[in-house]
Amino acid sequence: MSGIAFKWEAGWGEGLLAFLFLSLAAYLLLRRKDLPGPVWILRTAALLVLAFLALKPSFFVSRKEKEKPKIAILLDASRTMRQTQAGSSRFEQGRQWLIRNRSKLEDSARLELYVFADRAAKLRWEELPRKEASASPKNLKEALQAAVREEGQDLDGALVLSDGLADSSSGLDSSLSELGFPLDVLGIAEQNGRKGLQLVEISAPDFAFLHLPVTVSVSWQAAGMKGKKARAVLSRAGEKLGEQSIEIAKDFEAGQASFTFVPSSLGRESYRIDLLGAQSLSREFTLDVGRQKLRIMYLSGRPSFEYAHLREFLRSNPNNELVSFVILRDPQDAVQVPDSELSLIPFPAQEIFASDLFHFDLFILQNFPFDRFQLPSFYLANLKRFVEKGGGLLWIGGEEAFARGGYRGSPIEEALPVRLWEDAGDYVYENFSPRLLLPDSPLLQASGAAGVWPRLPALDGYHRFKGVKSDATVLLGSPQGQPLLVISEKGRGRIALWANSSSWKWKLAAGADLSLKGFYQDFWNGVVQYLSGSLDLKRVQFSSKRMKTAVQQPAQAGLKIFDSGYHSLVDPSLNLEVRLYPPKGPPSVLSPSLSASGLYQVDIPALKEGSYRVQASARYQNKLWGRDEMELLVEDENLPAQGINRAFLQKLANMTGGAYSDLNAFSLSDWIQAKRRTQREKKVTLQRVLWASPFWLLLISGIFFLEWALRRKRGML
Amino acid sequence: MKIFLLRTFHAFTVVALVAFFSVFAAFGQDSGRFFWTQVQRLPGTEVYPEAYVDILNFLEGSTSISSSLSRRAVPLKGPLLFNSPFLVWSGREKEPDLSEQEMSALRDYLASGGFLWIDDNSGQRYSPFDRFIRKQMRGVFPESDFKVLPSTHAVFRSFFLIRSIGGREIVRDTIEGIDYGGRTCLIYTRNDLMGSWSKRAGATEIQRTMGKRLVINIILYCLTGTYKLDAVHQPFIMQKLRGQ
Repeated sequence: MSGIAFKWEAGWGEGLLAFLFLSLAAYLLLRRKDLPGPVWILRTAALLVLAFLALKPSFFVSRKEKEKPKIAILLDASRTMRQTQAGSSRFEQGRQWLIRNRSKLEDSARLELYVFADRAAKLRWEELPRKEASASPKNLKEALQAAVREEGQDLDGALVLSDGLADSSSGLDSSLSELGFPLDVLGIAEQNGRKGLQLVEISAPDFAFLHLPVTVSVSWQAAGMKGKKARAVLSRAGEKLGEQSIEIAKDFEAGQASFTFVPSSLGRESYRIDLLGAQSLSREFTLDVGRQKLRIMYLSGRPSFEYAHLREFLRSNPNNELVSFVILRDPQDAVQVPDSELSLIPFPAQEIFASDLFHFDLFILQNFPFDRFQLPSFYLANLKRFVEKGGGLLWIGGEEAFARGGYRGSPIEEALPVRLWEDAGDYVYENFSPRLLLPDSPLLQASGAAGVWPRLPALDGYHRFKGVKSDATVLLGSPQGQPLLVISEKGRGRIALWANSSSWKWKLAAGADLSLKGFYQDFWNGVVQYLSGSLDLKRVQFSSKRMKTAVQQPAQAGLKIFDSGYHSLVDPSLNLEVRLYPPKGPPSVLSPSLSASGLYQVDIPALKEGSYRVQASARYQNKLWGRDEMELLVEDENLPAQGINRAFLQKLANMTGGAYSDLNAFSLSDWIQAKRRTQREKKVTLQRVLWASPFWLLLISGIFFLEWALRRKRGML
Repeated sequence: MKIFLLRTFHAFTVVALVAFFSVFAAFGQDSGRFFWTQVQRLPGTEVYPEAYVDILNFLEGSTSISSSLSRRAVPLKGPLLFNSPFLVWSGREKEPDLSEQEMSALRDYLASGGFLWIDDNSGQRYSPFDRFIRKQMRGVFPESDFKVLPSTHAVFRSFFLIRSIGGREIVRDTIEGIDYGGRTCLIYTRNDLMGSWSKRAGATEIQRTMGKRLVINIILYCLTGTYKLDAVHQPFIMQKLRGQ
């Protein structure tokens, strides 16, 4: 629908000029009636026209027009697109398709062309034939963001041509939900497709926390298997963790199976995914498992200075989750007051030794007389199993901690690193100074130099044992060759035995001797670290000791830096240096960047084929904090034949309201029709500037010439 | 005569040696047990020198605490101080000001994990001992002052559920403390709690009972810290408190 509007564009000056012309015209009308009629008319007309033009008239014509949608075409040029199928690479197939159908595409949309790998580049159509796929990884999120940045709010959609493999975007899902326009996705697959079941990709995090669930997804594809079934199985060290059945309803189908499980131990764990159908496929992946918080159960048989100080120390570490119980009253103790006036609670023995035991990482038992409470012996069998399955057990001495406490002959004795004394007289009431037997043990090194030990106050009381087991290590000794601090491993867990209950003296002594400051804390830190399985000399660690990458393929290595408590160290004063040592030639410096929660990423540039070393060295608190090294193998490997990841591509389309199709099954005419339906109307306004037209100049000139001719004819000149 | 003097000298030496080693033996062998240590500044000024006996006996009979039934006395300086995790300082009169060395040692002691209970035995609101203690503690902790411990403090529920402050003489219905390093390292009571254990007249039975309970709680607080503030205890404790 059209509309017309007039507008006067004159300013003050022009308005004044128009007024002047009108005034002159009025003068002629009123005062110059002596002029001949035609001359008078012509002059008046000229003045009126000049006044009209001085007001700068324009008129505007509005009408609605159909506008083509603006579509960004994103052609995947990443490494996986170099895979050849039917004689040409996937990238080539996508490129040729675009070139062939360019005019049809342009009929229906305003196109902006991009190629992308880890970055996106806008192209002119003339440049497309010269483009090749690169060796870089795919980052679809970066490509979409680049298109949005470049095209602004104008973009009505995008057409993505890709194989959907090995996308390295992070946070792609949230980007897709914020996109604001649909993605139509074309998968560049083989013409005839590969029949059978395919394990396309495994999505798993690099790092997980102990006791916290982690989810792993496996993308699969099945072609020519309509009506058949398959199973996806996740296992770890032969132990099945999960299984999902897959029912294939179509001739071609893609899907995902997800597994959620809880890592069971620290360190690197290997997992395996099996796809079992008409054929069996499997792939392995690894997960680095760390500890988020250390869960500690601390049970003490009685209140004591040792309990109070050790509990306070453990609580002071925010990385510890501490639950403690101390027996305030024995069964034989009599208090002549109602129970409501006591703060005592029932002793939750069943929870501590049975139902909740395996939720903890470390169990501390201090001077707890087991036989006094007539607890079932299977509680101690549970404790032994707790250690065997990976828990840490700290056994602290006291008068009733061992033989007198009823542990001789119990299920737990077999797990202890010592053989208990034959009778209840195993506790010796005597002051002594510990003998440092293994000063270089990492557990004791945390406490500082060996020279500190002679300055420590004497401890009070120690235990006698029949002997130390062969697989145990005695770090500190008490008089007469008795063990004071003994460690051992049982199954997947660790045990530390501290045959004393007066280490609090070390803490108090630091008030009088500053050189002992922190000794108590460092000592127990070392013990707890050992028991939690995190004691390791290395405070600088690469996530992987060996890495492989392809020629000219940039890569990333993960690096962890830990503080003295083996928690992630994030401190501006940390000085981290990473060097790359090539097979030949001098090393180069790499720049690590800090990602989430203390994990560093080291970007490794594209390299030639060969074996490289990457060395990381950290300085902190004015000393060498740690060092680690990894091996990097750069190979010129052929891409393994791999089907496209349709599940991923379908997800891109579904999440944005677009549509997915294989390229060879794509109906371009349907797509064009759909785009035409999305054409929108826009209001177009045309402006005609009347006063600038040469017509008026001719008219004024004609009027003046005619007037001159008339006056000449009448002899007025 | 010469032999007599020699024998006397030998006897004296033996007695001195025995006494000397006995003292160190007493300070040495606690073997994980709780032991009572009194601050000693002016000999013979203790108002209740034998109160510890009843207190320790109560601990032995009513709690799982294993006590060493001897008493120690330490000055506020020197190595013995740092071998005594629980200190009691009681009095009723003004004492000589702490020296700089004593103030520094006391601060270091409390900062490194020691615990001090001060009990005003005067039973007076404006006692000379109270003025003396406040002045000394301003020197020990210039950055901190005595604070009233709230009713939710762990000391009021470390063994007994304390709802009111007892003692021989009710001077205040609150107790005070000083915090350092995130814990209450010093508790100060004004109601002559030690006097609760004395057989002297002048206090109602309920006052004595509440006073005794608070003494036990103070000891348990030293030996368990904020244990009774752990989440696992709260439902039980709140139920008992509401039941009253």
